[in-house]
Amino acid sequence: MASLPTQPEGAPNPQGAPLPGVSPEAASARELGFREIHDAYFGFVWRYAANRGVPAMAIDDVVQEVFVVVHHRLESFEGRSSLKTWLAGIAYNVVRGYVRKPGNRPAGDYLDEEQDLLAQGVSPAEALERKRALETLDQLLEKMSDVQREVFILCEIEQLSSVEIAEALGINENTVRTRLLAARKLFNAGVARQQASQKWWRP
Amino acid sequence: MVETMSDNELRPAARNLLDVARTARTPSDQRRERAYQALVAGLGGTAAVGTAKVAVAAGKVAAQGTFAWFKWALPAALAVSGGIGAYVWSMPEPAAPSSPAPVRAPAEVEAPTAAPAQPLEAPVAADSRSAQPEAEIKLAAPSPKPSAKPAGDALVQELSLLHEALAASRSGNAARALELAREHAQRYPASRLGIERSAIEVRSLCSLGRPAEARKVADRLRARAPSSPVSAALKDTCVGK
Repeated sequence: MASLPTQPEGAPNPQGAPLPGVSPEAASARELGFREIHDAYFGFVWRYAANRGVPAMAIDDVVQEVFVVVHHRLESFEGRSSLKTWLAGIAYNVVRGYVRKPGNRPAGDYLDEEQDLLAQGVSPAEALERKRALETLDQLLEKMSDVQREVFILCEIEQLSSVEIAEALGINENTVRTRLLAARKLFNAGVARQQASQKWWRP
Repeated sequence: MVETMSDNELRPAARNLLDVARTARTPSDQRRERAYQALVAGLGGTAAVGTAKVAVAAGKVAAQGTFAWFKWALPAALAVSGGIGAYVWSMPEPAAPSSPAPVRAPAEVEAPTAAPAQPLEAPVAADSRSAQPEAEIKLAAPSPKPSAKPAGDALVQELSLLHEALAASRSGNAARALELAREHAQRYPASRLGIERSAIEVRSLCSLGRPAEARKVADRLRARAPSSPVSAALKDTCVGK
């Protein structure tokens, strides 16, 4: 059985460093504050929405909606799961609500993402590489079933453990593993095909 | 090596691709900051919501740059009742220099009512905690507020309806937007989101070529909330002055 990641990304703070020495005691809701939660998990939620197929120009809204719900629910959060798990569950539901709406999921807005990449100051070559990676990623994610895609994104991109994913999605951990293995096979095969294709066409 | 690796794990090429894509899809600090300001700018006067820090932050950034055409608001009145929020609505504008991130359609999200808190907490077994660093970022269990949830859920439903109306309006379906706005008025006659609803109504009526009706609604809106940004946002409509 393949091992699942055991170390999540360590939500970066605004400076990109891990949250400063947050112990369970010190990390109470009142100490942490909404700002810190937003800053620590904004990237996670934003990326998750993008990978789940929310078009580039709607991501800001979807992410905002996630944090409005977080803000609203913060006081009712009981701390029985990790904050990231709790937040992943909210993001899962909000994003799912979005992508399930008819007409809400047009083809990828790569143009917008490309402009975004260039705005980040990366070279055109690097931007192109990233754009291709995103296109490939989206194509391969598209080949997965919804349940496989969900688990794959949370595990392989967002580095949640199978336990966390099971908590966030409300499913059995074994189910997570099964779906993940199937998704990995699809992804490996897709990347291999893409590489073979590139070699074939390369002069 | 790569060829013999089990498909149970990602192969290096797949992992590399994911790393590149992950980096590409990680928003910049500027984007995060803009998003936060847009979010909190809508939290004006939310002393009773969330944490004290939220209220402080809201005070600092209120009225600063927000999404040009859409933002959430959490009025104090909603906050006191544990409510979730409201829309402050304005038409799309050209991207301002200070907010280059283009924003398009509304997040047409189904009512998140069924989503967040309870189902997420429910499946967590006491012994199934992750031992990961982030798992340590736990929030202390707050004192229970049994009365807050129903009110909040009702507001989420309200928001969902208005959200749908807003989406219809923005997609050019003014008739549907108007229908939904009026459905909202019927279902929630005493809603705290009446101002936002009226704004949708005004724009829809303008789009449908019914300026006289639009003006009536706008007049009521302005009388009720003369200094509201929602009122100000109607300047570019058929009732603008």
